[in-house]
Amino acid sequence: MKVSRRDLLKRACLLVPAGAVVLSRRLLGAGDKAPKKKYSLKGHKYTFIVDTRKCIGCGACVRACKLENEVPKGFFRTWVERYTIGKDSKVTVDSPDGALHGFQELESVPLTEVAKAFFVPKLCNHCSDPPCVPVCPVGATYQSPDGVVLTDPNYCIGCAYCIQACPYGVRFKNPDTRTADKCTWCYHRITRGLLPACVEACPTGARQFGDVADPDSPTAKVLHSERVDVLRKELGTDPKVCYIGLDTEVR
Amino acid sequence: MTERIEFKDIRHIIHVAVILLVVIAGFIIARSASVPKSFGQYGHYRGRSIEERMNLPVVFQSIQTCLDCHEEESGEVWVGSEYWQEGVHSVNACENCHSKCKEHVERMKANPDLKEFVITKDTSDKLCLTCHGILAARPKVPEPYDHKKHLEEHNMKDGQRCIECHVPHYPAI
Amino acid sequence: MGEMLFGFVFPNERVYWEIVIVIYPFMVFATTGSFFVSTLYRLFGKESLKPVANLALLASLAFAAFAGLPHLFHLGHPEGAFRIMFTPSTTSAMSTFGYIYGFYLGLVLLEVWFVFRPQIVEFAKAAAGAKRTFYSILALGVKDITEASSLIDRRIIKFLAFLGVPTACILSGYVGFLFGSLEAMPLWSSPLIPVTFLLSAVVCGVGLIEVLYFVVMKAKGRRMDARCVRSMSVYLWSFLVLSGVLQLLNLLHSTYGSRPDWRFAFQTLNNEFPFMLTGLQLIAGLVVPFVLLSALLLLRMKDGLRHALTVISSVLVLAHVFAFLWNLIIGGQLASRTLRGAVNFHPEFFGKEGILISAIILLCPLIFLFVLTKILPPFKDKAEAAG
Repeated sequence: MKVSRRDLLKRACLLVPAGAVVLSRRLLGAGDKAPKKKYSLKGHKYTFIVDTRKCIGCGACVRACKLENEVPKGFFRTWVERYTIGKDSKVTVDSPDGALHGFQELESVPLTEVAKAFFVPKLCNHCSDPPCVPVCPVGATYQSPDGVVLTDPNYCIGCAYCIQACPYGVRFKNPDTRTADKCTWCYHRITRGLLPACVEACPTGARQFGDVADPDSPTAKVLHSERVDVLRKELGTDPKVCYIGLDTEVR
Repeated sequence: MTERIEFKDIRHIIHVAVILLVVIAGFIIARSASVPKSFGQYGHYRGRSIEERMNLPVVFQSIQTCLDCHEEESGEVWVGSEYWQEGVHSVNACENCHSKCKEHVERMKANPDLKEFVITKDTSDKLCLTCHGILAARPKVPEPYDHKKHLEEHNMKDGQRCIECHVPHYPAI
Repeated sequence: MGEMLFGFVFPNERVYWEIVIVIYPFMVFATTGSFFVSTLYRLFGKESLKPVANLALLASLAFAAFAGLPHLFHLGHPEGAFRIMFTPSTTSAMSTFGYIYGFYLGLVLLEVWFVFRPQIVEFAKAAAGAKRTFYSILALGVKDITEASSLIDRRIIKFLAFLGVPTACILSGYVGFLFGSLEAMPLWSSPLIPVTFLLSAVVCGVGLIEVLYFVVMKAKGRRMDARCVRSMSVYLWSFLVLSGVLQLLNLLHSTYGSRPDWRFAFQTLNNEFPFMLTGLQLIAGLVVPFVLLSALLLLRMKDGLRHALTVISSVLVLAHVFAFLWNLIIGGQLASRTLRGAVNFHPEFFGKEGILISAIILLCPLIFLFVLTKILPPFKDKAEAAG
């Protein structure tokens, strides 16, 4: 412990090429300094990219989402799943409390028996052809002109029909408001030029969000350079959440 | 049906028809009175609902919000310092380790002279290990650590905490 | 609300539609099925069913009046229930149901009024005091029945019954569509579900009227009309066969299909509700009444035994319809969308959507029917009722 702090700092600077990441995130999340321009509902093509290869299962996204959206206990607007495929090809999936407190080592499958394992964050897919919207009897869930699927807690009657219709299980009946609830991509943030809370909180860049109507946006660049997939493509719901590094075991 | 139908033969039907009309009229009136004005503005939903959704308060703060005030502060590894900027934790949102700071930001913005230290921080090993602990499913970036082994390797005593060696704003130390 | 039963389920998954939602189609079945029984006499001229035609019509009104009640208990915001009709979404099966139900309810109400008008007028003339006022209001102030007016009324009754048949069919079939249109739920998503519902409704109606007829006659100390009971058992047998065959066809079709989610969901249902599925829906509710009804249709036996067997079959058939709905609705929600686990379901006793409330909701139309039979006696004179 004779090395001075400053020396160590200097050496470490060379080792850590984090600058680029910092820069890209600054560009995305302009923060409160964003010009207070009136938001236009037209001309957006929001896309959410989940890079499962980067997800470390810390659960910061789940905690941030809970904080941001006052999500009641036991329900989740976003959660993280862990897939553990053993050397015997047995698949174990878990998501303890939605990964609100991260993950512990899986007891049932010892480290030496794991063939492969990975985390998969889940959230509302904001389908281009959402099965939840047409079933609403009163028009309390809808696709806004900018393509985000939203609920109207002041008009919803809480029949839960939309919850049954969602093939991804992202919707829930909020016990506090007694209405249907789900991820809005933090609509109040993105329309202010901020990032969704989960993207803001993600320390590894596993969650990226942006408007790909602008082909130069960082999200569009990722989308146009990486091979992406969506969940349950066979249903024809056309999700706007794209996954990198998806596995056939993930539903 | 050759005989003529007189009024008294269909009086009861007229009464029924009147009641039906009253019910239908009542329904139409009740409907027009209770359907929200903005309904159908953009589609089959309340147009105002979009606005209501937009106006929800922002709670989780961006790193930039913290930087707005704390960038100029002293300290080698303070947030905003070049060390912090170059370190791996500069991409980590402040509130992942510090407590919720929405109220703090609002109060301090309203009254910059206020001296208050309401933001707490979680410095437990448990918090560090939610990202840095070893899990089979965890990718190798950032490098996972077995806390016990790591301490042995560096000849540290058992029970030494992460924070005793590492500076969270610049964890390379 | 339940939690994880086994395996992995998405963290938001619950049994969101509970027992009251099982009660709801059951009441729709009861009203449309009863209406069907009454039209068999009124429209199709089945004279043998005359003794129960009026009772069936009243039962149809009683169940129609309360068919929306389970939904109110289920909704998170029952005060907004009218939004279903104020801003109906044309793409939603549920909002279209609101209009069909409203139309049907009005239709049954009119049918009852026109059918019972002679009686109402008679009471209004004969009675005195409060009773007279009450019946005068019910008669809508018109106390004379002319020859021409009763001719018109008879035509209206025929027309309403004529219109009522497709409406009742659409109503019960539509409840099936409400479930059948949900692609995300493997056990529900089937084009056969609406037809299955339609036939179950008829089975439910015939069974219910048979049981009610038995109870009313027992209470009055009279004997059931043998011809009527026999006719009902023929109908019950026929529609039970049709309904059972269709359910089995649906099962076969899906078993041979390639949807892995259906197989998983059915397996889960089979494991969790073995009694409800095999015991009640299949054996006690379908096979046993089929055997009993076949026996009493083929074999010679005394009227007393025949009546007893018909009533027992009817009760079992009602249990079958309930089990069918239970397995479909509650059972259909057990399997997780992950195909790796199931959610748990503990029926609450005192909950807003629990067992007690469901029982009370089911009792409401029966109490209302009791009141209705006091106001508008469905069995006019003893001679006619006795055959």
